[in-house]
Amino acid sequence: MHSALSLNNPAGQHVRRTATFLRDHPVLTASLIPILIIIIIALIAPLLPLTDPNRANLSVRYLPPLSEAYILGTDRQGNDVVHPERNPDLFPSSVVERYEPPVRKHYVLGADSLGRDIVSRLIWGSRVSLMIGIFANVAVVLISVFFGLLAGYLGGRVDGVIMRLVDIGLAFPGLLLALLILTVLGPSVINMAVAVVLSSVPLNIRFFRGQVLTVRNAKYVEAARLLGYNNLRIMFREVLPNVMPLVITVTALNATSFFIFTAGFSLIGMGLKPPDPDWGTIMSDGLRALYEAPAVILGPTILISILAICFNIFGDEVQKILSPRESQL
Amino acid sequence: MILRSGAAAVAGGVGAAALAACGEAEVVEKTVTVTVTEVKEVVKEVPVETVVTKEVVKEVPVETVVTKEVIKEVPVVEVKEVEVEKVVTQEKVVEVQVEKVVEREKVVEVMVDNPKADSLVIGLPVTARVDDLDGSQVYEFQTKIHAFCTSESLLLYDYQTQTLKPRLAESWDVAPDATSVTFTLREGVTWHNGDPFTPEDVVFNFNRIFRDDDPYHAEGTFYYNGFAQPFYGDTEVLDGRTVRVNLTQPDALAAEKFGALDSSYMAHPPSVMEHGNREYSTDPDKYVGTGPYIPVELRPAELVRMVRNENWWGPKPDFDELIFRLFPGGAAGADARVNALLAGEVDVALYTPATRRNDLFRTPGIGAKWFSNFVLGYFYINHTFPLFADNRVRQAVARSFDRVSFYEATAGPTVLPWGRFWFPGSPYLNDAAELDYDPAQVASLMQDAGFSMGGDGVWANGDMRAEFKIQYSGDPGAPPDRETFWMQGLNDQGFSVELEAWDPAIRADFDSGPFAQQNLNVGGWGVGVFLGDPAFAYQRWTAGDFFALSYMDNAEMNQLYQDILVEADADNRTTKVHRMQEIAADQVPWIPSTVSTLGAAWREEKVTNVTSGATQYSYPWLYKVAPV
Amino acid sequence: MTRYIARRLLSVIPLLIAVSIIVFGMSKALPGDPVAIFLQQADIANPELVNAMRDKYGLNDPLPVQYWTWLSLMFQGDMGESIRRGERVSDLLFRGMRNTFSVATASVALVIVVGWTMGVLSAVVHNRSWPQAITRFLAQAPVLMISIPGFAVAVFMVLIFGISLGWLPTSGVSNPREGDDVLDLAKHLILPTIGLALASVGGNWRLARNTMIEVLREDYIRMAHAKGLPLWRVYFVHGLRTTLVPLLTSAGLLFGSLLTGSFILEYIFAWPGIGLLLVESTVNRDVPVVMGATILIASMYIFLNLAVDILYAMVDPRVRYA
Repeated sequence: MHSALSLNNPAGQHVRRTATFLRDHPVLTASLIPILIIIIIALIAPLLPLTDPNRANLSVRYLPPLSEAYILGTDRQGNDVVHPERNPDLFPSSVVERYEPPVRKHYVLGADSLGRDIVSRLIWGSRVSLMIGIFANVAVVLISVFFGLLAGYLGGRVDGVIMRLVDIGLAFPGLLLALLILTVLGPSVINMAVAVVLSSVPLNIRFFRGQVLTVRNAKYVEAARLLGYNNLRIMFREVLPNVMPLVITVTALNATSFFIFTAGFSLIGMGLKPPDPDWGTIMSDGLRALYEAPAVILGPTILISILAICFNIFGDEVQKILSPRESQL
Repeated sequence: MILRSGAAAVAGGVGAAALAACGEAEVVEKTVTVTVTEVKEVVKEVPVETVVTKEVVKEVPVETVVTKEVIKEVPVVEVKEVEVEKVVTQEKVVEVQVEKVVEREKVVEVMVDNPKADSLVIGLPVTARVDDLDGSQVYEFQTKIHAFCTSESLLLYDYQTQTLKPRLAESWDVAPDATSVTFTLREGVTWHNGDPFTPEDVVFNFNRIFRDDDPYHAEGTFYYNGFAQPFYGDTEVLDGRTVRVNLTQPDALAAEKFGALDSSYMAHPPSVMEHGNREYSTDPDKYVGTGPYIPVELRPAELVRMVRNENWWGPKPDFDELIFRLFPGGAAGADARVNALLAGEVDVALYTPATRRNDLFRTPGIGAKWFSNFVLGYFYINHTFPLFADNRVRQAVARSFDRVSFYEATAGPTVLPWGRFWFPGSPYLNDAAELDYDPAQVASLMQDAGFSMGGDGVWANGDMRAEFKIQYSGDPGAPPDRETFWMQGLNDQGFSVELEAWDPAIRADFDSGPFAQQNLNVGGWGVGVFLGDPAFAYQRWTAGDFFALSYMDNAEMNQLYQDILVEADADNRTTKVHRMQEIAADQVPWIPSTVSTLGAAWREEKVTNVTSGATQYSYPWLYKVAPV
Repeated sequence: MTRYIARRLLSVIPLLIAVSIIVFGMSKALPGDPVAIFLQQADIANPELVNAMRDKYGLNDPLPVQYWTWLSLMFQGDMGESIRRGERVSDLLFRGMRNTFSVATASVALVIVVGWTMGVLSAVVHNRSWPQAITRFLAQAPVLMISIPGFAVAVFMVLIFGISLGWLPTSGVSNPREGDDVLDLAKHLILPTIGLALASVGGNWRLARNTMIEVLREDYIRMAHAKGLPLWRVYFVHGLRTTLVPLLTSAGLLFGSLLTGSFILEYIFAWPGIGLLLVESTVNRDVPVVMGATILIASMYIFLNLAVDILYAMVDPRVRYA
């Protein structure tokens, strides 16, 4: 069916349709834009003229936002020596090769406790965080939709087994399961994602199962059953499409909590380890440099909030479009 | 010092020099402490005095800027008469400064600007057992501090000066053959309930602490006791003031081990017998100790409240009431402690995280004290080994290691080895002597001990042979990357500290023979404790690698740190580092265990980082630093 | 009803057994020998000592024996001793639970007072011709509350109200200088409660609003209007009664999850609760405490869920036969 559709409709028509759809739903479009901007910036980070996010430089630590410093030269290891003042008397002894005149360097959001460029860290950090966020979200949705569908549609023994497992998972609320998993496996990007996924899957399975249950006895499902379609076909062709819209709402809800998860784990020293920072690490750094450089914690906080707000609005809008009755809310 | 040179310059008729010297009001300020006494002497020396003074003072309205103006008015020609005036004016200036400084020093002692009422609240992390009042049952370094205000040991190991200090014992004496140690107890010490502190109490406690089969064995301490337990024989009362601990094997460090061990604290025998260890240590009503403060309230994980012990043997304790507010351990509590300090909820915060140092600095009334010492490692000498039986050889070993060169070669020019060697209280080491690198002294000590130097650079005395050498085979001009140096230890940087027995037969004894288990035995010296390169230390500090301790006016330290960052001249930098070291050395005097706690923390942190070379092979029979 | 309750209670037993096996397995899977770590931190590395300590804590026995010992001891109320603190685990847990309980209760109270009130209010306002700005704000404010990370807000509150203004204490449960009264505790509760409850306030606000709007569209409400009942009666007696059911469920579950401790907030406020205890002992590999805390949290959560389910069944008979 789908393939037939796309054969009849050339790509141009799709684009036009999408454009019309977006124009008709300005709020939805507006909520998508910031998300896309953040993702695009994260993707093109290697192309941007950013300094190494991990390059520490003590002489510019806690540099306030919108200030500039000077690269005075290079030290023995060939690294830039950056200094906030352009005073030749202040040349650090470590400068081996001098630049004449010193090169200017801009710190838009200032520098953190080790003199690292906050902007650069934020952007590079968004790559790791978004990656975890997206992968975790996709995994959570795939796993929980699949098992929710099985349990909800098939019922009986399958439902019993799945739901008993879910009950066990649910007995470890919140971050407890993630904490244990992370302790056992040790902190790394993948383990963090695994921990986050495993700890949020049970709740999601139960949620999707509930949704499947409401759809299961609908007239069109019964019709499909009477037509003699097998269970698999009914599950994936009839039931699934009617549950899918909820995925967006769930994703929106999960999006924020994933970042807060990682931030929380960084805070207690179980977060991701360098080389590349993630928002959680930056946030916990910022917590400790609150007085000197509020930009450090404000950066990821604002970004996470923006993302979460946009996801929430996006989810609400999608729901409105899909269920007209709700749209009166 | 400035004063003196200024005066001398004028006397010599060099006006310009005097101008230059006197122009630096700041310099004067920095050196006042030194000059205070000198000034008074100058006044006495000068016979012309009073009339002149008054005139000068009238002429000059403003105090601090004084110097320059006065000198301008005085023509340089009238050298001799001017001299008197000069000195007197200078004296004026200095006096003003002196007052300032004295005030500041007071603040330093109290450590908080304005302790509310007569109570002091100390923010303390609890990482281990939170409710011990009895020092002999404490589990961990951090939690000792409040227990050490209520209970005491016979002696105190002062990590700052690295000497033993009297406490409940007034003096101590290790027998020449190191098989026993005698403690003479202080007179007039009483327990909190008024009972006198007697030698029998010491016997009870030593048995309780060092004997596993004692019915009141203090369980919490068993692994500290491990250092001393194998040496413990028995304790006997010699007379009304003296006890003697007899050892099972010679131990040169008996005084430290039994008098000042982290767990050999005195508990009140009747109370322990009546209530048992646990209740005695956790219930303020049942606790009886000798310490300067008496516990009155204990809320686990919340606070320990204690009041002054009016009958304490020492000087009157500073505060009517001492409250330890207990915070979680680790980074969680550390941030919260700083917040509480800034908000005025506690007066002192112990173990503040490095990253919050600037918060503390910029808040009026709160200063931070910065400790940035690393302990590189320790070498313990087994003095039961034939070669080391002679204390002259041990002293020679101690003086043979050129720590300065070692650090400069490995960790850069701003690193200084600190102070003396570890455990100097040993009777075989001379407390008073600085055990610095001294090849001449090494030679004479070895000759005294009957060794003679062969052509191959090896000292020999009969079968015993010893060679002192430190090899650094890296390029001294290009020090290793310090970060990795400290993080990964010597070995990964291409260095190894290898300790080798000279005779292969003896070497086997070390590996598997009778000495294999004795690496922590007796005698010893530290390679060094030193103040790191501030920039590097700061970096490590912000990375949370080691602790910092708050309180105390530290603007100068901060300034020095800033200066050092941009100081190009190596000598000047070293001078400044020296000054920082001096400041760091000026430690908190009133809770002695704070100091030992920090020492322990560094030891804990750093020794584990510097790998096998330093800690696992603990017999510097011969040593060399060589590439892997 | 009794049969339903009995059935639910019975179903908890295998769940508890499964949870206990998982907790035990996890504790065995924790990397690092707890004893060795502890002794290493005390700067001692003596194999004999390590072995002696392992014996003392029963770590040398075969796993099933260890599991059985642990389980049977736990049924006698003995969760063992903390390796690191030397205290009884039950004492530690009780202390942590007590502190977490106070802040969880305060948070739920805040959620009810602010979240529900604002939610119901914004639902009532929704159908009236109030200025667009106000209805919009009432509809979007909860989104903001859900989206901003609560602990970031908490940190800034400490900075502003604790340190700069000095109005509120920054950490801990009591001020040693001001005695141990309820007022002092209340003062210490304010900031952690706000930080902890922020997102839940937003969530409940939204939930209350949406449910109430739904309810207000029901026929019986129209009927009440038609009968000419006063507005407040229609909204707060007829409307609110139906709205309360999902709200109560949500509050019950919220209380359950708050009781298990939020380690981030407890971390920031140095609040000696169960979450912080769990994190600390996990980091330190204090296995008896980790096991005790986990099993306590899990079983508490199971029973709270059960209680909510049973309450729900009492309210809504359909559930019983589902």
